[in-house]
Amino acid sequence: MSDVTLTNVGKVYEGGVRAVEAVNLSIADGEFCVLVGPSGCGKSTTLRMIAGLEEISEGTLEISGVRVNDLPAKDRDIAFVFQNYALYPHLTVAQNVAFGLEQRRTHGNALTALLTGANAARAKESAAIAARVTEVSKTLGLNELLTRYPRELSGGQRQRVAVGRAIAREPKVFLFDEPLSNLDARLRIETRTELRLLHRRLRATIIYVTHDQEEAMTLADRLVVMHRGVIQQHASAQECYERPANRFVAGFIGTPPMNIVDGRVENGVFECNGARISLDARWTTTTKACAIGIRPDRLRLGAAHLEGALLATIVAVEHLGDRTDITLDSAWGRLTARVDADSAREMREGTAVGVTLDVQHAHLFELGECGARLNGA
Amino acid sequence: MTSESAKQPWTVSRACRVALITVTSLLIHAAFARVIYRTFTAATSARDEIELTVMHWSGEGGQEEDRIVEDSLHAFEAANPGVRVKRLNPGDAGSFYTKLQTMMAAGEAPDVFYVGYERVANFASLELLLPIDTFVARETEARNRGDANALDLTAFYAQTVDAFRFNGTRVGEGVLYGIPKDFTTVGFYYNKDLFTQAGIAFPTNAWTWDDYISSARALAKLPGVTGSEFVTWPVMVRTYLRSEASEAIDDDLSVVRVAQPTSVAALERLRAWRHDEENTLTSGKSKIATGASVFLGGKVGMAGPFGRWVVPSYRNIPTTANGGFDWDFAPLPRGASEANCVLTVSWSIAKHTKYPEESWKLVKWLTDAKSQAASARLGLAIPTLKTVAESAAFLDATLPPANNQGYLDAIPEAVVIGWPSDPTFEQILGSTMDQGLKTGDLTIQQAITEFERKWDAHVSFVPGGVAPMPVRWDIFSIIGFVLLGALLIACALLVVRAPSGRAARSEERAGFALASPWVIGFLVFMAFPILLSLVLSMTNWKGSGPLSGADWVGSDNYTQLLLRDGRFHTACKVTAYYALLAVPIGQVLALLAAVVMTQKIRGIALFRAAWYLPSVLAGVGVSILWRWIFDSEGGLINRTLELVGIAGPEWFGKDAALFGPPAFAIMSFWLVGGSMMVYLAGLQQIPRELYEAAEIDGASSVRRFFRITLPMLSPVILFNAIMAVIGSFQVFTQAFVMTGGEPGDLTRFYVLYLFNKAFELYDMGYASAMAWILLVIVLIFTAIILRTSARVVYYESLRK
Repeated sequence: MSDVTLTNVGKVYEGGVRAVEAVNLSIADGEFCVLVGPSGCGKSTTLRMIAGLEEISEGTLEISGVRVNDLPAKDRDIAFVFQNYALYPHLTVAQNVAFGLEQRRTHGNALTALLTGANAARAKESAAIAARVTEVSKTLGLNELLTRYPRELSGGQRQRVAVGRAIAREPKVFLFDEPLSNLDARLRIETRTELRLLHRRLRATIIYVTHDQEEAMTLADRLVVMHRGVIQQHASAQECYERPANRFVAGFIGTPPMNIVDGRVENGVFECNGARISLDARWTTTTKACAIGIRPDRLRLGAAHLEGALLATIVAVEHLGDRTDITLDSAWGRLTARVDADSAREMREGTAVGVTLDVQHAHLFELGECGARLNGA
Repeated sequence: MTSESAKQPWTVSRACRVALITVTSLLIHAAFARVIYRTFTAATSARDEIELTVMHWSGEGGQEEDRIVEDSLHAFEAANPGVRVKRLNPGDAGSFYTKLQTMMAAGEAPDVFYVGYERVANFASLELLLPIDTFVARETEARNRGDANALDLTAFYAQTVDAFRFNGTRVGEGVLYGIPKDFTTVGFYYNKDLFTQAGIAFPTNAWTWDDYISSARALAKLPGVTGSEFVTWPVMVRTYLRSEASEAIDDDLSVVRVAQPTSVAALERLRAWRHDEENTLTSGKSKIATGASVFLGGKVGMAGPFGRWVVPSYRNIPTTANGGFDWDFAPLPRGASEANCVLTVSWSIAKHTKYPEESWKLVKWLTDAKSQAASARLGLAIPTLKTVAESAAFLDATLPPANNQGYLDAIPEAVVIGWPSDPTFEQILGSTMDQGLKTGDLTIQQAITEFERKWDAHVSFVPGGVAPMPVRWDIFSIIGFVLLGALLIACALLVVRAPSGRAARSEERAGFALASPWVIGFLVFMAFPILLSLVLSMTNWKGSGPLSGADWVGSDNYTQLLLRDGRFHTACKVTAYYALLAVPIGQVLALLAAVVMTQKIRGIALFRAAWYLPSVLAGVGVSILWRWIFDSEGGLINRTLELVGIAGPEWFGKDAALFGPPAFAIMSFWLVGGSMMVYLAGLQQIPRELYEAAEIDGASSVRRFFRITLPMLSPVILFNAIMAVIGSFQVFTQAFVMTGGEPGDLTRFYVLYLFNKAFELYDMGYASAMAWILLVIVLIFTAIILRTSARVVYYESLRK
């Protein structure tokens, strides 16, 4: 079992800057868990605390049920893949992959081995390391590259070597710190899939940090959305998308982002700047100032003076092939609508349209950056 | 280039740039032109006004001597309208001679200047001095006609005048080359309080060496007191030998007779006093401990043989009543005969002065009774005019020493210690006698043999054979012009074959314009001297006269250096020994210091600055500081060693063969800050992730250092190592200031020997050959390091 449990884990830097608030997180054995959030949200710090690269200021970290707060990184049996791969530039690919194994051998020193008569044991160890390197490189398709130096590799190849170095030691937990952000967009998508497959094959526990919510959603068994050092939501990608815990998650997950408008709900009607939209039955009894959130694909565009619709002007039309994103100016401010390619054909920049909502898919949030999602009746 | 950019309009920024380039290069070229132009105009500008250049030093005399000379010159100017005097004072005698030599080599010798008697033979044979016999004859005539102001040579102490006569082989007779300004005889200064404590009588003006040594032994019995300091400078050793009716060299300076039995006996006795008896004489020690200053501490009974020059500093010793001690002077003790020496300095005139008449007037002025009386106030030396010396101006009873008469009493027996015109004699005698008498690492017999071997090797070296050819400067000039022409053609080709396109060409023109001052400066001030030194290394140019006087000697300098010059080989060994210690240990220390400095602790910037600080401190001051630290008695290091029960070595004394170069290596570790900064910069270039990755991979901190830090730092290490190797071959200031290469040649580093040859022994051709050999050595070492390191040095970007 290699589950990871964080109990009230926090990080306070010297000078009192608080990077991570009391984080409670439990990652199951074999789970692919992705920490996602904007930069500075504390996700990397959390990961580095798990790795042992940052001291844990408060709380408890357990791996496989054992408290490891004070264990040095090398004894936590984890592997770390860095954003810029951190390959040893003076070592070949094979040496890079073998590095961790070399550090952990019993008979590291050739001279000592010779003197203590452990030569045979040492040779056996060396052979085992070589075999493991071959095996790993076969898995990752590095066979051709073993004698090359990192500087002779492309970005994608370096990334694979970094992964190879991580899996060579067969650690309990893999930690990835934005491993794809140095790759170009296309390679990123390819590698994403490879990582997913690798995870399935290794069945290892993976904790993965990214700021890219799309990457997070495609990879994760479960997402951990962080903001300002606090976990905003810990749930499956689907859950986060459909039932965001709060306004921050709602705005962060999904492309283009959810339209969120501050206003007031009263008698089942949401009002902002005098423009009103009637909501569904959930909200008939609610009366309060709040924000409404609705995903772009839940906006409907129709004739300009449609009854009960919001009057808006098209300011930009972005054709994406299968769908089209429409940017609108309205009394509610700037809104984004996503429509299918067919209905987008008539859309012209500068024309007025009437906007209606699929109100049953609208969410209401408390006011404020991380205002909680309201549950209607 | 598109047509659009070719028709680039004259925008403001472009105009500014062009203006800036033009102005900059014009300014710099104008500066060059001005410097060159000045040399031509200077000669013609002051036609109606005569300007005499006067140069002197003010070593022991300090600021006061400087002021006295200045006052005399002002008075001279006032008395001689139409003559202006430009005064130069480079500082001490050493700097003075260096400056004099460079000025002479440049053909701009001062008109009137100091000459120490020991340089007369050398300077006269180099034809640097104007014979003044005709002037003196004219003065005698004038005197006979009744002119009371005319110079009267007989009014001077005869020895002091004879000291500036040179007949082509020996000093003392022949042509007169200067008028002595002052002089001194030598003897011992003694601490009267210690004599009283020891219950022994004060020395008399007629004391003997037996009196001397029994006094020293009696003084040595006092707690913490050393009997006497006895400096073994060549001139003192020779005077000492004369007092035993012996000499180191024949009167005609042709036969060296160090080995004669009386000399050997006297030297053996001196060596025994020093090395076989406890505390009788101060033993061989660093330069700070020898010489005049040991006496100041009040723990040395006698110090000498010194002349009058120590008096200004000894006068600062408080009297007994004021917490110091009383002291006096006694002339050199007598042995088998009575002997003393005359050490004197003249005002002399440059051979090629434009104004011999005015110069002579000035020399006369500066050596007349009035000027001499003024300098006598200093107490620094004895006036050469008998009337002044025997007047109150010198025999001032209010200030110590009381026994001024002692100096004068020694005069009848005092002679000028003549030196061969080749100063190498004195240097070799000094260094070998040092090893016999001071460090004691050679016996007297060995030292004499060593001296004779080195001197023979030197005199038998006649570069270029008996009739060397003058250097064919015409040929070299042609070669030079051909090279310059080729260079200009190459430049022209570069310009002509410039990339097409107007913008590119204008950019290139700007580049050439901006670089041209540097290029011209490089050609004039670097390339030309470098190439010239290569030519000079195959000549016997002295460095003290015009180049046209040089003879072509081919490879003689090189073969002498490589095959026969024992001092050169010693210098190489000393330097190699030093480099072997200083480079590896220094680099390890610098790297460790840098690693420590990467720690993120409070005030780390302060620590870094503190470590780097020594590297920016001035070399001479720091060297003096270290001289104290390595002082064998009471120096910081030996005191500390004493505390833990280790008897420290005499770093620059008798243990100098083993401990001299290591002392300099230890001193060099003080300067690791420079290398440390480079390492620090290198360390901070290493991505932190590599360490983190290695940490997670299970590498211990030691392992991380060897597996990450060292390989990642290897190009920096290579760079630093090469710089350190080059630097270690260039040790100069420290050795020059701290030991002057002594004792013997045991700390005479390569560049120091080069300096000695070039600026003290006037053998610039030989020194140039040394410089080129040094270059080759450095190149070889650098090549070896580069070759052997190729496999272990990792380059991020260079190797593919």
